[in-house]
Amino acid sequence: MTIALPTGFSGAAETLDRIRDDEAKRRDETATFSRQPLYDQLIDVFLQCSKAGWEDEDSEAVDRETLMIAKKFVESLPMAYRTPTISGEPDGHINLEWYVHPHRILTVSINPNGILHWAALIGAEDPRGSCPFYGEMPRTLLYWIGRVCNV
Amino acid sequence: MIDADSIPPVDDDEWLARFIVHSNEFRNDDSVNPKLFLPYKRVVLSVNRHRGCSEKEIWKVGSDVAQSRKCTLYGRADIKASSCRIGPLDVVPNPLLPTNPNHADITGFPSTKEDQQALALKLAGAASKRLSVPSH
Repeated sequence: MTIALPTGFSGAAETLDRIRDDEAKRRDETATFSRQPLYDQLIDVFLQCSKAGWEDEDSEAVDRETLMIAKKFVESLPMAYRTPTISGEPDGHINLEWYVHPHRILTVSINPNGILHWAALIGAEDPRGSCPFYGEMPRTLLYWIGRVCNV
Repeated sequence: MIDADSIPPVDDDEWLARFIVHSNEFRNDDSVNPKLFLPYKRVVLSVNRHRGCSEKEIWKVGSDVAQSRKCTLYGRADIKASSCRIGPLDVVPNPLLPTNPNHADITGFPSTKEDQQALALKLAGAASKRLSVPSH
C-alpha cells in the first residue's frame, strides 16, 4: 500500500498536471483570441505613427519601445474589462481610451519611458495621475477602469 | 466677422469653433475625442469665435486652417466660452490679422500631461458633436 500510494499519487499528479497544462493552454488561446483586436490596433498605430511628422509636421514618432510597453500593458488587462480604443498621440505616446459616453471616460497615455499618464471623467469626478508601469496593471487604474466600465 | 479695429473680449455666452482636421479626433457616433482639446507643444488651443460670422465664413476659416496645415477638414465642434473657462483655463482674443479677426486661444493649460488630459476630457464633454462640412 505504501508503495502503491506514491504510484497512485504520481498518476493523479500527472493527470492533474496535464489538466492544468491544458487549462493554461486553453486560457492562453482564449486570451490570445480575445486580445487579438487589441494587438491589431497596436499594429495599426505603429504602422500609422512610426515616422516623425505622421500627423502634423511637429508630431513625434511612436517608437518600438513604446509599442512593446503598450503590448505588455494590454496583456496585463484582465479579460473582464471592456476593450479600449488605441491610438497614437503627436507627442509619440500611445493612448488607450475607455469610452462609455462623454461624461464616463478614461484615457491612459503610455510614454516611451514606461510612464502612464491617465485621467478619467465620471460625472463630476475627475481623477487623474501618473505612475510607472512595471508589467502589472496598477491597482489604481484597475479601480478607475472598473468604475468607468461598471465592472 | 469681428471688426478688426475693435476686437472685444470673449464673452461667456459666445460660441467657439474647434476645427477637426484629423480623423482620430472624433468617433463613429460623431462625438469628439478629447484629443481634439489636448494641447501639444504650445500650451494653448486655437479656436474661432462665431461672433459676427456667418456659417459660410466659419467654414471658410476651417477650410483655410486645414489647407495651411495640409490636412483634411472633417468638420468642427462648437463649444461655449463659459465651458472653456474651467480651472486654470481662459479664452482670450488672438486675432490673426488681417485675415481672421475672430481667432482666439484657450490659454492656461497646465504643464503635466495628466492635468491636460483631465481638462481635455471636460472640454470634449462640453463640446457639440462633430458638425460635418457642408457639401456645397
